[in-house]
Amino acid sequence: MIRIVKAAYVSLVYAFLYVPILVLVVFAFNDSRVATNWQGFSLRWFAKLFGNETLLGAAVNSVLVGVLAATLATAIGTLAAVAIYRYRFLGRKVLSTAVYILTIQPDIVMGISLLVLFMAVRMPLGFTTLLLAHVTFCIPFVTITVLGRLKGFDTHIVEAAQDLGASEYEIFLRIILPMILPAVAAGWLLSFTLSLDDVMVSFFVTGPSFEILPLKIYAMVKLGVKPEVNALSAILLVLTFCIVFAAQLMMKERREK
Amino acid sequence: MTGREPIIDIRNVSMRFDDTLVLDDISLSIANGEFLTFLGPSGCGKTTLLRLLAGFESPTSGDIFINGQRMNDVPPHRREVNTVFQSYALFPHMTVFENVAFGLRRKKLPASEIKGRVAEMLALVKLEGLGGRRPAQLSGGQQQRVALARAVVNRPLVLLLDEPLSALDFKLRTQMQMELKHLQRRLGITFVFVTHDQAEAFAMSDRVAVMSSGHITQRGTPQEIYENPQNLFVASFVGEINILDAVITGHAPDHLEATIEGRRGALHSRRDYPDGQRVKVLLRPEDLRLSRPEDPEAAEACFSGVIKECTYKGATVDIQVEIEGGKALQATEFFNEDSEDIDYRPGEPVRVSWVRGWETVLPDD
Repeated sequence: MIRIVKAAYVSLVYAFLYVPILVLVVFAFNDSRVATNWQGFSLRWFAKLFGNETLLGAAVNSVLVGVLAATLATAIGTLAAVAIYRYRFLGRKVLSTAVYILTIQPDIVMGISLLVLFMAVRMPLGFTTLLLAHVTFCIPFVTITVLGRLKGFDTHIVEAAQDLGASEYEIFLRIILPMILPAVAAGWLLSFTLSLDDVMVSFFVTGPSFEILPLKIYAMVKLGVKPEVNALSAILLVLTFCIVFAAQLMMKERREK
Repeated sequence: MTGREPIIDIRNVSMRFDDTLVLDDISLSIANGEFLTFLGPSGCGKTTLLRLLAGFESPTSGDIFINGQRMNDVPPHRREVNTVFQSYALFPHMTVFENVAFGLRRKKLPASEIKGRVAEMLALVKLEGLGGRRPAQLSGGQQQRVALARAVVNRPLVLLLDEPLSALDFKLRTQMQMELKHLQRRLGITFVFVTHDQAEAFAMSDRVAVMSSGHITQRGTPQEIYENPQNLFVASFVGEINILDAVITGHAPDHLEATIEGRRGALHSRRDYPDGQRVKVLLRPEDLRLSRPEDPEAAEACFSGVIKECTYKGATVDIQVEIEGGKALQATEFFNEDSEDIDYRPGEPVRVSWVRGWETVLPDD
């Protein structure tokens, strides 16, 4: 009896989480203009989606910003993690705490504060401001991911490298970097997905000259959910699954070695 | 043994972390080719001293000379010393070969020479054929050998070993102790070893420095330290020992008269003590002699007591005796082929004596 209750409870939790997503994917293949009744299988919304140039243009912009922001944030965030782990400097404690605070502060606060900053320095809103904003909110996630892995290492490994004649540069290149590489890759993927689906911060810091996918969808949905949006969401969902799966796999494989 | 000129000279070194004095005015010379061990309980500063030699820390005051050069501000990667870490600290992402070759590659030696030296080293530590493995694929004992090979292959002036054997099981540890000692003799490299294990220190070292709360309390050969401990700390830290309270009562030509645990007895000491001085008498369990009341040697015995417990150890028997006055003594008797007279039963009365002159007398402080 208890087993049945447990199974039912777990099923309910998963159903609650995944049924909406499933419905969305199913209706992406619905041959009907109205999203609520099923009229047979069709790929026409996907075809229509690929004919919608503004939507595709926004998607390309999003991927571009995602790749650039993830790459820059990974470089900066990784170096910050190594610095916090490896060196003792003034303000080290403050820096490492500040990194954690940034991950839990509301997006709206970051969006508004960045907007105020860009206004203050009279920076026109567009690609540059959007990229800077995305790099900013991705850095802490990379730093925390990499720092987590660094903290798992035997501290004597770096000392052993020093002892064997390695300079600071060689220690970073030959010891630290290869050991943290899975975490760096995971940090990049995390940043990419964060950047790709950010609405809140992007809403404040981009201008009409540079449209990105989440904001475009947001604007479209105001006029009712179009089946194309379903199709697009299905594609994004599959992409996100692939990336998260790859990230998990990378972290796991290294841990087992 | 090679030359006797010092390879390491530690002069008045003190080390302070925040408010704690970890090393207090340490001075010590280590001869070239010597196997020296810092022996002490955890927190005595022995590992800190080793880290000062490796260059991971700088002394708060005092100087460290290696091969005649002042080393205080020389970073670890510029010192001709190498360390074997307690945790081994092998590079997990490199193969055994790459681990061992790491130091040589930093010196930019030609690839052919590196290959030759690593192969030679792996053979020396009996790891031939394992060069392609990763550390995680090796046993604890094999990892230990890689750590050793990785340090020794650089032919350092001094090899520093920080409790390298503590993670191994007893049998492997004893075997590695012998191998380390042979390796050291063969290479002629100075070994500075750190351990809290007295048996390990004695088995390998030419000289032992016993440390306690930031001081070197005694230095000497293992035999000197075991047989003539200079203070109670050393006496009780190195092996089992019985400590008896005594008061000097008079002087005879060849010994001191004393009251030991309430009984009259004779003490032999290199130092002279005035009458009335309170002293501690130290006796190793193996120096105590037990006899039955009816035995002829029982007449000379100082104490009479009762057997409390016998523990059979194979080659020896550990016997606990409670002497008159209630003090418990630990005695070790060796089996002798032609006598079975150490077959004591708990509750049996015995007499306790010791080999004349084998006692150590220290002032009671």
